[in-house]
Amino acid sequence: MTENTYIMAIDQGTTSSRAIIYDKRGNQVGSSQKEFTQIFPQEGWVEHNPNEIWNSVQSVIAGAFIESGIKPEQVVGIGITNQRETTVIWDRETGKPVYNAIVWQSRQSAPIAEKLKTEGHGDFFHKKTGLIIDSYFSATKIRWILDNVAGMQEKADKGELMFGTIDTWLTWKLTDGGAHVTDYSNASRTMLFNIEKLDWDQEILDLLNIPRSMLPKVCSNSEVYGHTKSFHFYGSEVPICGMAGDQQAALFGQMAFEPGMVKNTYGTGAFIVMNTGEKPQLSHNNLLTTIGYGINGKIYYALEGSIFVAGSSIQWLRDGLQLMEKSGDSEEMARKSDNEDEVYVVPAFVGLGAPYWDQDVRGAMFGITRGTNRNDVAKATLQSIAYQVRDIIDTMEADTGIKIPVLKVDGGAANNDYLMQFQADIINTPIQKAANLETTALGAAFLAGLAVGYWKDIDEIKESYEAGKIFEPNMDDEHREKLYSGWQQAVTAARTFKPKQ
Amino acid sequence: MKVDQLLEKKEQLQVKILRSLILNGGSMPLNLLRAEIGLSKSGFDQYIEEINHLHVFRVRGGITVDAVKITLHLPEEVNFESILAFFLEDAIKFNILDYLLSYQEFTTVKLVTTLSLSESTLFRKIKELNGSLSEFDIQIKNGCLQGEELQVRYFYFQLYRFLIKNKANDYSFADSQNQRFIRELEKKLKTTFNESAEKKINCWLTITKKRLNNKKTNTVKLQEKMTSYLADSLYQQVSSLMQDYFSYLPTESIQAESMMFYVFLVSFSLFDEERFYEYDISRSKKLPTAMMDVFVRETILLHYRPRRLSIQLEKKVGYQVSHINSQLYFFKGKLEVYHRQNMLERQKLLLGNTLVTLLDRLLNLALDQIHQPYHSQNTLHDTTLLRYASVLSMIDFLMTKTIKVAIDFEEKASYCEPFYQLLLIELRPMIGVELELYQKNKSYDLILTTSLVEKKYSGLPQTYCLSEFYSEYDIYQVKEVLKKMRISKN
Repeated sequence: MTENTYIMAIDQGTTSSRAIIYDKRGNQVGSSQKEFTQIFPQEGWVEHNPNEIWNSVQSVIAGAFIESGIKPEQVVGIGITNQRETTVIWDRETGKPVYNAIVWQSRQSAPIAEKLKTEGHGDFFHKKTGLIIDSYFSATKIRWILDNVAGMQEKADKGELMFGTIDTWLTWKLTDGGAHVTDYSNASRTMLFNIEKLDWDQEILDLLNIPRSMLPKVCSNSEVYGHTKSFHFYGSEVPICGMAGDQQAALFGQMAFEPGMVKNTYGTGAFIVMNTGEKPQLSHNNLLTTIGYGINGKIYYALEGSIFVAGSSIQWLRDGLQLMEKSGDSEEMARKSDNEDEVYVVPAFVGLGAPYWDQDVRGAMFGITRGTNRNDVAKATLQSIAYQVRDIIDTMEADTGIKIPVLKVDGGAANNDYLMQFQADIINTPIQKAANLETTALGAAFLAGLAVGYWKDIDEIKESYEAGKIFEPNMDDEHREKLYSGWQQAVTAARTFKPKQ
Repeated sequence: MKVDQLLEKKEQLQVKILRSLILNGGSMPLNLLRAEIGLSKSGFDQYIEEINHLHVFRVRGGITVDAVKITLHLPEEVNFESILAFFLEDAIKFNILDYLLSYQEFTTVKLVTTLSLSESTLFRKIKELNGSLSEFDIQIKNGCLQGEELQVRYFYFQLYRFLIKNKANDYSFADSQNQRFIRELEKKLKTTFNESAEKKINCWLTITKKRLNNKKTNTVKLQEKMTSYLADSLYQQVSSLMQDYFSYLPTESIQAESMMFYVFLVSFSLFDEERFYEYDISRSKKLPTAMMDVFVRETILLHYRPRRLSIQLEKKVGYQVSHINSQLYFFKGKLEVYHRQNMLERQKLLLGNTLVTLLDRLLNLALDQIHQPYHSQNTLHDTTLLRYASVLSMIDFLMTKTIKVAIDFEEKASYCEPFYQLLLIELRPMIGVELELYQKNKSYDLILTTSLVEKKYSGLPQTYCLSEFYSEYDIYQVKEVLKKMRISKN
């Protein structure tokens, strides 16, 4: 089965779609990537054209075949990983989206979320879904479409509409309407899914007046959901058999299969996810409880903390402040800085995420003197990423009582050795970089491959594990705590300045 | 099929002379041209004299000949195509075709009287015409033009588009009925057609209305090719409009008209890029043309990796590729106005060897997708190569990051200005090169200087030291430096 056969991962992200073909050893043998249009109808709103997303996916599938020379019939399974929470609603009969996809970042449904909070539904949602009420999740986005697109509530009530996150939309398209499904990890980000009962929560649906008939069937992360129609996969009918939200796919791709294992993906923001085992653990410190993955009848829960600004702060140094030509230069600049880490940058450009969840705070810089130079600012910005990660790691350890043995990292900024060493130092925990930094797509491929027997079991996947570089902590406790205390002061100070107020 | 084939022998030779002169920059050695045309001296002189008597040269311009050189002087308002169009309108073969479009059929008696020809001339011309039309799989037989209806209309569309472009007033075809149709179409498709698109639609509609009088309409191949398009949303919108517009026709004729109009709509750049993109992303990939588009476009994009095209540029590429592919799928043959080989050579020169290899790959890929073998007799196949080459040139041009070059002369000596002008002439034609005299407050990628003393320029540009006189050596070296910079910058 595995000779000359491959698994394809479709990684549908916020700004681009990718298709990657993997062989049995987890090597990439072909890939293609395509960006698509970001639509900003109003300040704070972010939308995508679902057809454009679908079109981009079709194109990258073809692109990966062209690049690799592999034929569609050599692909034995497809895994999908996707930008989570982004909401698409389409007409059951025509298949046409009734509105643009509302992207996870979009704030247009914030008033709906605010109202729910004001009405005191916070605990109700947290206990059932593990989430904190926010427009970030799909529920308020669905409500917004039903409220704001003429005639949609009526159509929804008649069962004429279908809802899906991007995984659902792509599977529905690839199967030409044959499967309306999602997986546990994506469902757990909708704010409609009861993570203990593993079903859409009727009380929430009633509260939000969302008909159950709109919702997809929730499946495990690794099973056959349907087959591509041949005309949508260049002549082949291939099982779609792996599915996970991007951060959960990265958790799987990092092989964080045991409780207590944590991964951090440094992208535009940073997403830290901890495998907490087979029982959900609700956070007392504003972290999100979510489903990591469900496979072979078992559910593995996770705690998640998100940092809004990580890699984008380096882009700010490059494009906003024009302190460097390439993002990679930040490492050399940080090493050249000879101050004693007394400068702090709080990159709260769009507020602060977990554990603060403060939307109104804005970025600030502290500790600057006449002698502060651009190298110091670059270093302080890189360090701010590490400090934010520590905020979350500390919270996770407090919530679970588990001391994290190692932090597995991936994403672009994981290539910055200065940042990785400082990260290890500031959390006093070893950092292990993934040998293959594309863990998100790899996770989706693993899930797909397991479903069709391409890989026999998780143990076989573990055999292909290649350890990446390890960064051991190398800072004395006193210095570490002095630095972190400075960061906490800086955050406190920044939070006192609320321009909106 | 070259447009020239519709002309009389004499005009064909005149066109050949004019085209050679134009392709050679307006002037060439007399002996060379005479040998190329293959005429005796007296015959050749006679042709030159007749060209000089053409109406376009009556006031100004014409061909001058001296002992060794022959030179063409075209008045500014005249181009080669307008002369070709002038010849075409008078050509017997064109007039036979024009008559056939107007009346659909002829009797020998009627046609020889109308065109003032002998019967033998008429039969000879029809035989010649059929030789040319065979590329389109159409022919004149039993007093009418036979073949697939879409091919007939496609042929006429190209022919009249050529005339419209060059004789706008006589062939605009814009009547009020067409205008009403265009407005309805815009409403239905939620778009606005620009002037050029309107002209094309007018032309197509006029041909359509005339061809509707044809008693036998053959759409067998079209029906086959369109099978998977019947569920397409754009086709359905077109079909619904056609049902209103041609309500007096039988159902099967309305369907055939809808199919032909859909093909026309997606093949001749009628939508603007944004509207077409909207259609492109929503159409089913079941459509053979959609599959071709994806494969050809992605192969092009793959070639440019790791450089990535912007979303806007990708849309432009998709737009061009899709129209090229639609013609390749739905039509056969091409009416050629330009000298294809010459254009292809020029494109290849611009593109370089690697892209030339890509061109063949693209054509093979596209033909594979629609299960068509390559046919050297089908000029549409070769012109498709040329059109893909244009897409690649467009990408090259639009992706090239500008290299800013300054000339910093040590002193304001008298030689500086002519030297600067000469450098401008030499370097400006290079794609993506901006050249100006050095200005202190600006930064540059390359500074050409006559100073040997090292200066500190802002942004640390590369410098090249010129000799204080214009030399071919320096020009060659500077061009090489620029080529290298272009590669590293892009």
